[in-house]
Amino acid sequence: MTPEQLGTIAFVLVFLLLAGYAVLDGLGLGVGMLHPLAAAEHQRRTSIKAIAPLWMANTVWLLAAAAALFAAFPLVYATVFTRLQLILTMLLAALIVRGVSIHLRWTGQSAAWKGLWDSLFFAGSLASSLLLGVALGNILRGLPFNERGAYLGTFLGLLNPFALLAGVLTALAFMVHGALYLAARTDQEHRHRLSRLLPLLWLLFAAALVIASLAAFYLEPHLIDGAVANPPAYLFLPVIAICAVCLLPLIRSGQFHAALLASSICIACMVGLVAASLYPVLMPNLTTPAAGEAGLTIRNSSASAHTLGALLIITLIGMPMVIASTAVVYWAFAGQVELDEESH
Amino acid sequence: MDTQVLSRIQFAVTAGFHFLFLPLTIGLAWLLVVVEAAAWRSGKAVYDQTGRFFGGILGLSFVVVLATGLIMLFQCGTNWDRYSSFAGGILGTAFVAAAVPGFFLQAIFLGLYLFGHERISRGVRVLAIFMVALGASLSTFWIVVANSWMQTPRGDGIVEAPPSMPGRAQLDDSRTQTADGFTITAATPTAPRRAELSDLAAAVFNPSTMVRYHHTMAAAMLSGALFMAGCAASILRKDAAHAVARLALRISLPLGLLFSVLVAFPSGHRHVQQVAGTQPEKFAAIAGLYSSPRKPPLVSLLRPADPGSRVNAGIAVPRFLSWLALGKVDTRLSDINAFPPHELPPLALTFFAFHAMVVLGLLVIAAMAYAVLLQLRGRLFERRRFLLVLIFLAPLPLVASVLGWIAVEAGRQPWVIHKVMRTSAAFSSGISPGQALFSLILLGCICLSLLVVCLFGLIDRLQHPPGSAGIDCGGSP
Repeated sequence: MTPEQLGTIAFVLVFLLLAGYAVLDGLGLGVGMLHPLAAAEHQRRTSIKAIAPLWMANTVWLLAAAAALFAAFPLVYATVFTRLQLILTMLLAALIVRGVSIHLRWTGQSAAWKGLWDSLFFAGSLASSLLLGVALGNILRGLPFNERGAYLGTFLGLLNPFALLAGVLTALAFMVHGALYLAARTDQEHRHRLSRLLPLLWLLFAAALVIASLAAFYLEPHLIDGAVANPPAYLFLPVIAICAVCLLPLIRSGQFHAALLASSICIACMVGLVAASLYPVLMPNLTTPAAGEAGLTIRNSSASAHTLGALLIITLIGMPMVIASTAVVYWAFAGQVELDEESH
Repeated sequence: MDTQVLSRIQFAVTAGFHFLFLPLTIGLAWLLVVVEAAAWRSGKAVYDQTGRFFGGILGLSFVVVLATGLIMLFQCGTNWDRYSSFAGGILGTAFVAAAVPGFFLQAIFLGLYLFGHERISRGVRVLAIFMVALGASLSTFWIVVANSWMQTPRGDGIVEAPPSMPGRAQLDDSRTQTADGFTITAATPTAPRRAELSDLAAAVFNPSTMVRYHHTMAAAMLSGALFMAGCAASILRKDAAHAVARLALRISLPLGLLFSVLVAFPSGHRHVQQVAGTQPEKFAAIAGLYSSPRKPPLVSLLRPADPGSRVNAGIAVPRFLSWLALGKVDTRLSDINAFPPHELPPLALTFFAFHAMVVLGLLVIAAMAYAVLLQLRGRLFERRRFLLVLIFLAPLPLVASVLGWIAVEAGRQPWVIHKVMRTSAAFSSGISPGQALFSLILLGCICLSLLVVCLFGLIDRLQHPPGSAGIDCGGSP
């Protein structure tokens, strides 16, 4: 295989892992963001129990995506992570707080203790989703750096309208996703509560999706150029639209499993669209978009063919095991969440 | 303080935390395989309760490992960008291999093991905890590969990066000036060069990988065993007839003795021999070799002074060192004075970390031997004072692991990749000291609160052991 083909495979691998993360951990982050809306103690216990067995494995997808980027495109990894240092450090903190809250909520019995971890669970999930979206939005938009590679922007420059919009869109997509997951796995009482909430969430999500598309069209035309040049975008775009539109009737008719499938496809295709609008660039350069290579691409910043080959072999051996085990465990936990006397 | 110092502090703190919980996770997972298999075969409730009790502790400790693991990976990019872009092709590959499938299997099946009580059968439970232990062992292998490659790099070529590669000029800034003021001319990678994988097998099985993997795994097993013994001892001091605690002690002590010996001999011994062969500066530092007589003595107590001065105070066993290091009594080892000062690690830190680790290891072997002797005579559960000793022994293997990690990492300085890249040329010049300080404080606070919260959780569990009132066997929230 040519280095360019290997680079393309590695590019797809990084975004597949990221899509896996978004679809799977989006469930947990969504459940976390909706946590304060569950008023009664048994409702909170149910939502935490729905996500507790799965969040650890879901988080590993992010770790694997980052490691794959590190291995395949070391220079992109170094550049992106240094430029987004503050955002990514805060993302780490938020993810850790979120995860720890799930496990610590039941070590104490007092209401204050549970309340503390409930609010940290919510805050961690919300901050994680927003920051993840802001980071992706900035990568999509590109960062200003000169030919010496030095970053020219400021921290506040990272909180630009487009990136913030991406953050809000991510959070709303995860909220719908998490609410559907809860609705699919809980009893009549929860479902009733969630089915009143879901149409509103859907409306907000659809509005954010439309606004973000318009923003990309008017503010970041290089994304549209990128998407036009890459055929997979022609698949992702209509699938996102169809899934997003189908969600509402599925929610209305109470077909939560089908709706969950639709929102999973929608989120995966959103990540796919991000990839398709970027390819072959991984990190657009805001300052010199016209001068030759527009930033860091699979051509000028991929690792050696040897590394990319090794990466391909490792994932071809490992990922089938991971996917099979994930499927088995999700299947084992399928069905309604039931509280027992051990669950606090 | 500058970005480099802050980044080094952050790395040391977070990696230290990672290394405090990682051995515990691996060791406890394998011990729980034994417990769960016994529960499956015998069907006795006491095995089941033991599994649930220590399973809860394993879950908490894995959460910390996952959290600090993410921090370790992310900070390579945020705080060490020149190191990442230089060696990412090799280190990143090892990290991917650690995640896929090792770390994934560990996380996936731990969820099933901890929260699946009412959904899976006993046999599947054994399989789940076995997969956790297997995944932990696999991912540890690849992390040891990554670190060993930094100690004894092989299978790579230092090549010119493609000329179109942006950022090369920025990376060029790193050359020539190190923190201690020496000008480096050779062997410091400047920007357009990077390490590229040329031979995967040679990079993976570099001279230090296997010996360090054995040492790490033995230390992890010892950590798990002593931790379990300490928890059991603390319950037994309150209730000498507690069935779960008695069972845990019976299982963990013989394994503790076995691995306390294995961690020293052959694995620790062979690790020292490997260092003597491949990293003579580090060996001189850990062994406190200030002068090099023909038959080097084993220096066990000394006051390291500035290089160049001979050290008089100390207890030294003549010839023993060369026998230990090379298997011969009559050899010449390079002493500290044989190396230029700017190629030497921080001597006192390396020496004391290594020796403190060895002393702790010997202490643990002695205590374990005595414990097993008591166990064989059937008097273990009556010796309340010895049970107290066991409680204090519980954290020692973890402390020794961190000390060993300090010796190995401090002993590699001033290199981040031995003889290839200096630590002073590896940190991100693109982030300001303020940013580095912010991330150090944020992540430091998180690590500290994780420790506090885990200790709180542990004490809470030990005060409500399975079988007493207010039972909380851990697992389901």
